[in-house]
Amino acid sequence: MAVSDSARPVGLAEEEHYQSHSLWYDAFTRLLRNRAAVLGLIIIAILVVIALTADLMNQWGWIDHYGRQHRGSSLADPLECSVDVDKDGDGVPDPIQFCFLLGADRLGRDLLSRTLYGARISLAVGVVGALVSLLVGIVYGVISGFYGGRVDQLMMRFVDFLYGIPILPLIIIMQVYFRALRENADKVGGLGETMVNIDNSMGGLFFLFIALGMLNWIGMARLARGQVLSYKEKEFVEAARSIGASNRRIIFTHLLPNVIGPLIVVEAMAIPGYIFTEAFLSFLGLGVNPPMPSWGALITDAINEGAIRFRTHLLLVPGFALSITTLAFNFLGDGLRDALDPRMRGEA
Amino acid sequence: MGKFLIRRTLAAIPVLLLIIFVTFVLIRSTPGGPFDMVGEGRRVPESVVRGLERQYGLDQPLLVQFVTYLGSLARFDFGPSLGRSTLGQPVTEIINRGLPVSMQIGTMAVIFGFLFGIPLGVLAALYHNTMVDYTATFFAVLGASIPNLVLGPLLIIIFAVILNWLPVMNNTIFRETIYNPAVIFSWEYISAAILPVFTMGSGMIAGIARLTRASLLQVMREDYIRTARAKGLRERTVIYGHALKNSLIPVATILGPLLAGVLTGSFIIEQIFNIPGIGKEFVESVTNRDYNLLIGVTIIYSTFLVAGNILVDVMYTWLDPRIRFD
Repeated sequence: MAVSDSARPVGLAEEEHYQSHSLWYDAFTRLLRNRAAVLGLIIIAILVVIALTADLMNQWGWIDHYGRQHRGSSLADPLECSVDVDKDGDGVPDPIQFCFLLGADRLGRDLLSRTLYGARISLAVGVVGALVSLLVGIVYGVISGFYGGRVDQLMMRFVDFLYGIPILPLIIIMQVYFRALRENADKVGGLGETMVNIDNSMGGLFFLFIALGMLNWIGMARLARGQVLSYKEKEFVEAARSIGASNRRIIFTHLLPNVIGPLIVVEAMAIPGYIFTEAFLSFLGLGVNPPMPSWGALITDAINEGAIRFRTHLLLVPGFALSITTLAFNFLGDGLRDALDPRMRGEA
Repeated sequence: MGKFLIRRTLAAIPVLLLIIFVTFVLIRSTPGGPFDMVGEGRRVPESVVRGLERQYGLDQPLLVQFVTYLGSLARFDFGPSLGRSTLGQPVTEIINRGLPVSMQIGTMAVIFGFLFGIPLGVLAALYHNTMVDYTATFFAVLGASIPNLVLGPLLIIIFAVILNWLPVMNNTIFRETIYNPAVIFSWEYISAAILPVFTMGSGMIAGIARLTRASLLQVMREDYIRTARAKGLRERTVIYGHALKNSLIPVATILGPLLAGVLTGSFIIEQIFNIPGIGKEFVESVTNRDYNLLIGVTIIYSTFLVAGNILVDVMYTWLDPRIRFD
């Protein structure tokens, strides 16, 4: 460790307790000091647990399966219990089978169970949407920015061209196409049929991911390129190059850790957007396949059935879930920005 | 400036052409045609479907269809509607009917957003790190977190059903403004428009307020603000004369996303409040498989968004003379 000792600044040499923390450690401690961000983090953690254990809770009998219909319990009020019809025909109704804590929808499906299952869809859409665009954007942007020259020019021309395309109409059109594909899977065959099969096994999420990920990486690619451009001329990169570091090493150990902070912040802030988009697509009937419950689909059901006047909770429960999730991601995004980029502190 | 505008407009043409191409080809090549559902769920004889397809030119090769479509687009003709209830009606007519209604709501929402968003942001910035700031920021985050999809029905329940202050739905009044613009000032119009406009505008207020706050805080730290204060100018003059205009430059960028917000907003809000605008037509064209209407509305929306982005750039140069695009 002789090298690191001699490299240490003179002023700090005597300080035995001086400890250098990594960028991430510092950022994390700063994040934990932000109360709103911690609240957001807790809410998201709870949602993740719910999303992961929904099937398990169903097995334990705590909640119902999302698609299970209780005949005779259409639009049941909260705390009502299902009295399923008399199956054995002895004139006596079968014993109570399930109690709806938050009521049931028109088809007699438990609202609470469907809302809890809905966390899976919203989180999956938000997280996968963010990861895909982060990954594609970083790869594209870093290559373009780092290699520069003609490669950069060509790649950015392409991005500039795509940048002008409005994303939402295209997402809608693609989902319309995918839905028609799904309905006619038997006639299409080949690749189309394979994709429909994958999509069906994911309850409609696969096509949703494709449509969402298609163009959302573009802003990220531009941001990543700009960051790389500003960092690659810095002294520490030059220093690394002068001691013979390979491009690969410079990119992964010197550029990426510096570049990635703002990108993560932007993506964290974008997650509510993905969740909203899914809810919006469900509203158009272009979301996940029924009976898969997404919060957008639950809200849409409540609105379309006209049930909201008399059964307001059908709207309020999934609406609350959607709002609180968005709020949590907004808090976390704000906190992350403050933590990863202290210069911006308290400004936005 | 003029040169810049021309260059940007020219650059937008291939983008629009690509959008038209992708939209057209994707929708026209979707497996299963618009006439599969003509008979309301009943199976229609194959010959009838083929006949309808021939009548509307859907039996031609895709590329021929596209060229024909481009030709009619040049005459602002979006082709005939293929929907069940509006079969054969020109799509242009449907768009002409709906667009003014949507634009009324959208414009009012944007004005509403700026009218409340900017003062809220300024207030939060001026009282930085006080209770005023925290309250404003809290409501801004809250406003950005409640989706239109939830807020709209919620407002209907509160104001129309429980309190009974406003009519639940009044969808004819919006079209009357075309013949009689003075209707806008009648109570009948205001009571019908206030909830949709508020629903659409609340998210905008939140976004604008946050951006204004951030930007004003940054500007207040600039050297020229210190100079202005050192000259002994009153604080009021410093803020309104020197800081505010410069702080609004980043706020102008939000016009692009705002336009997109009006777009999504119109899809949701017009459906929820039963407003006969272009967004409602669009949502119905998706469920009815009215492919011509779907393509037409997508093209219209995309054009608006592309034009909006150019507008943002123009506003940049106007707000900040340092920015030059030539």
